[in-house]
Amino acid sequence: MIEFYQTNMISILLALKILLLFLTFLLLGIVFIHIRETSRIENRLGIALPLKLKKIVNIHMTYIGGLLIIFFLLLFL
Amino acid sequence: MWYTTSVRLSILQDRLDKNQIKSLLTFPQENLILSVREHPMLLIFRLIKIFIAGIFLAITSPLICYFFLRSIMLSVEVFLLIIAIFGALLIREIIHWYFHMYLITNRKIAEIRYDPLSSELTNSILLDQLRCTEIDAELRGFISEMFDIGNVTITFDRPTHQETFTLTNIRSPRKTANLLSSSLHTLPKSSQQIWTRSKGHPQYTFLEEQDDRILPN
Repeated sequence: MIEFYQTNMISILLALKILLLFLTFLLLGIVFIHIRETSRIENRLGIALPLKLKKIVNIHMTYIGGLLIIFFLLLFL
Repeated sequence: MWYTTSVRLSILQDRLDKNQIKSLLTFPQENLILSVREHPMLLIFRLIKIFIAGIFLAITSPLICYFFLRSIMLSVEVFLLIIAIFGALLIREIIHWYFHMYLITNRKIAEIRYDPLSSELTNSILLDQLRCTEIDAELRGFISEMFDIGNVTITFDRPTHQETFTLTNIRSPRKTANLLSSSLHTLPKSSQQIWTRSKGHPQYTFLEEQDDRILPN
């Protein structure tokens, strides 16, 4: 088992990094669709989310977007 | 009492404000009796659970990655990604709590629940069509007693799609039940027009009263 790790370490790391990149991209997509859906419900009900919560959501979205870029850059390092 | 003090965080207001209520009143001459969300303390408990699970995974997963693969960079990536996932779960939980509300007016009882990306529910019961026969308050367990959280169950004189309507985990269930009892018992009767015959209009007669001669063969 240990030999397997040692001989294929670079491939395993690369595969894991690609998996992480894919997961981050998926998370970004889900969060984006969730925000779109939430604003649709806000319009339909006429009830807006508090501004503080919207700010938190924006910060979180920016964080995930930043992570995506960092992971993408790290893939080629 | 200290445990009945409302949570003052603006994000976690369990009462709806005037503008929000205005958009939910759809009938003419509809007056609000009660509008409420789930008690924010239960949301805080759920958030704490998610937070603890997130912290646990954010610590253990990078350590596992480091001990098995000896890659600091991968461990940092896993740590950051787990924080992002659990952050999204926390925000999702707050949004789902925010869009779940109960509304009781003199014309209807409604439960509105919107879970973006997962489910939608709008359950309205028109009080013109039926009457409330029972309003029960229920508090179960130590935490419910401590924070004054409970259910209020409303039963009707005829079956709706559910036999009862339950306001689940709301603040001050006893007070709410008393308020609803007093308000729903004094509601005006149904405004449906009942047909009447006045004496001054003999052209409108019941069939039994008509002479046989004028009836068609």
